Amino acid sequence: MHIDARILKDNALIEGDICIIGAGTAGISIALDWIGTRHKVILLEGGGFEYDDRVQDLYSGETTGQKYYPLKSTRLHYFGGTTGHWAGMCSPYDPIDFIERDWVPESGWPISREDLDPFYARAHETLQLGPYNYDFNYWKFQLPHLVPFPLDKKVIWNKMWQFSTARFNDLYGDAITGARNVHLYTYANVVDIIANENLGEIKEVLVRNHTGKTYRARAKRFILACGAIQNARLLLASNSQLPQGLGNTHDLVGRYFMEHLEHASAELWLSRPFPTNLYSWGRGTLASAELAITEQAQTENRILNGTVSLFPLALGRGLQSEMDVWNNEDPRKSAERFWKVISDARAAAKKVTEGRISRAFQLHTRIEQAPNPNSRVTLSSEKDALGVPKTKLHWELTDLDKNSIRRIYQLLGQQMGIAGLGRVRLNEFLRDEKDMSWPSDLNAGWHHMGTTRMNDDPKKGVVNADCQVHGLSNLYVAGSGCYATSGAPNPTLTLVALSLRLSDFVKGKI
Amino acid sequence: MATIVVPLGFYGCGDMKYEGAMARPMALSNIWDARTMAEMGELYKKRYPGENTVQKLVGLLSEGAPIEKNGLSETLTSRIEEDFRTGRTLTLDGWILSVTEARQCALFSLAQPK
Repeated sequence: MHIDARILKDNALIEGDICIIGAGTAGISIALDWIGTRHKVILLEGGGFEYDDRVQDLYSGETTGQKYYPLKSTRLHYFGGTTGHWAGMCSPYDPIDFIERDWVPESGWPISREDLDPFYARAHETLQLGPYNYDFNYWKFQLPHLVPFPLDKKVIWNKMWQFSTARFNDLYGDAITGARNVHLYTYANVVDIIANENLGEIKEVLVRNHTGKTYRARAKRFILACGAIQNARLLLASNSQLPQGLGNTHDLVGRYFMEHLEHASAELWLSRPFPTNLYSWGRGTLASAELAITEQAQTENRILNGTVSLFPLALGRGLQSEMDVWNNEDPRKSAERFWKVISDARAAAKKVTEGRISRAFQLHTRIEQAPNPNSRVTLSSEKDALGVPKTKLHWELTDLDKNSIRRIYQLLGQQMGIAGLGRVRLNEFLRDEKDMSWPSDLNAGWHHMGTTRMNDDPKKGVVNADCQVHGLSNLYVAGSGCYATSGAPNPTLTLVALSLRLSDFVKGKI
Repeated sequence: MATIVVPLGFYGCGDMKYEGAMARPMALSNIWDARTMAEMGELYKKRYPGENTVQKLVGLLSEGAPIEKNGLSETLTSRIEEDFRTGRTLTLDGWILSVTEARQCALFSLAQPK
């Protein structure tokens, strides 16, 4: 069932069993899981079914620290969320991502990869991926043209990826609006969360839109599913009862903001041709791989988890850093420029078919960011059109991040030399081992994580292992904000898995 | 453009004679042109000025194992792989190289006309 909230009367009361705030990847994944149950599900979406610049503008904010994309442009604010333009890259987090590593400060999740495995399998259905199988040998059997570099498996392994084309707006719009027990309200922006008198549970949320009307939504359980930045912002801005905001007794909400560092970092020059499709992907690719550092090598070298992807160098040299290209507040204009740069680079690269450069690759890093409490989301003094303080993001990196990237390429260079395959050339920013600075065009993956991190100790995390906000018995957070560490892969598959796990938990509670 | 000489067969430089393969790193020959190889050799010599002579470099490259003319290239290739295996590497202009092949580049650069 769909209701456009703009037609509701001022002060209308919306009621249900559970209230999901946000109809993006996490919120829709959970709502789908409740279709056909006897429970009334309220699904509140700030936008409509299409891009609306006034709604998108509610994501505007300011950034400090390491240069970052315009905040308005990094997420899509309508039904289906950022699946509206995502690349669809999916791979699960590795077991090491969940454990405490003594060289990674504040690492360790209260759940393991094994805990998530059954939900990863379910997430594959939601995202319409192939089998939940990321074993290289499985895919090698399916696709014999996947020939791996003969590198030492104790140091480098082939981390497999699958590719989703799911756009939740088109894919699940009918299922959600056609479900009798799911009540989707569009143009329903939550602007405040109100707790009960003893501040132990949520009583209701206040909802607004550009008509100037305000509504209230009440439910037994509330799930925040607005994305890592917006979830933190909403908790911080819900400060009418507690000045520090909700769930923020220990000043953790908004801290530990993490991104994936995705940057052209080196070149690989093969000394002879090596025909394989394993390390490339395009339209229709079922599976491909990135070169990943083994758990053993990460431990021995005390580095973060990361992977390396290969782009033909002739193409890579024509590309610009996304941080420079994706610089328009309007995500449609940024995307348009982004695709034009790629298209131009592809056209230029097609002309390069011979010579040594034809067997050279640009190496792109994909690496987790170390948890850092100073990398954080706070509130701006400026307010948006609905009266909510805007976001202020301070993105800050650490020496561990840089040392890890450098070390990954040193290891890869060493392995390429041992195997006699070719040589690796570090990009300028990695050459001086004492240089801990970052290039101003350092790329990030548009992946927001960690702002409501998971830990069973309320002094160390905003939510517990069940994604329940500490101290608020009926408030949960869905999505990548709950990640304690950010892993190397794109976050969406894990985000959906974690959301489905939360969905099961809430079903057991209601 | 400067003339580049790629040593083939026995190569002489002053009184010192050495097998041409000693100044021709196999993998890098497939990656770089001769100019780049000479430039990298120059960089190496600047960093290690004590190795800035043919005699010194030939001595270092011949060290440890008897290098036969026929097996020289293979011996050096094995040594390069061993360098990578044991961490005897260095970074020149961003390139992660084995010490042996960097010395080969240096020897190569000495063979170029001034």
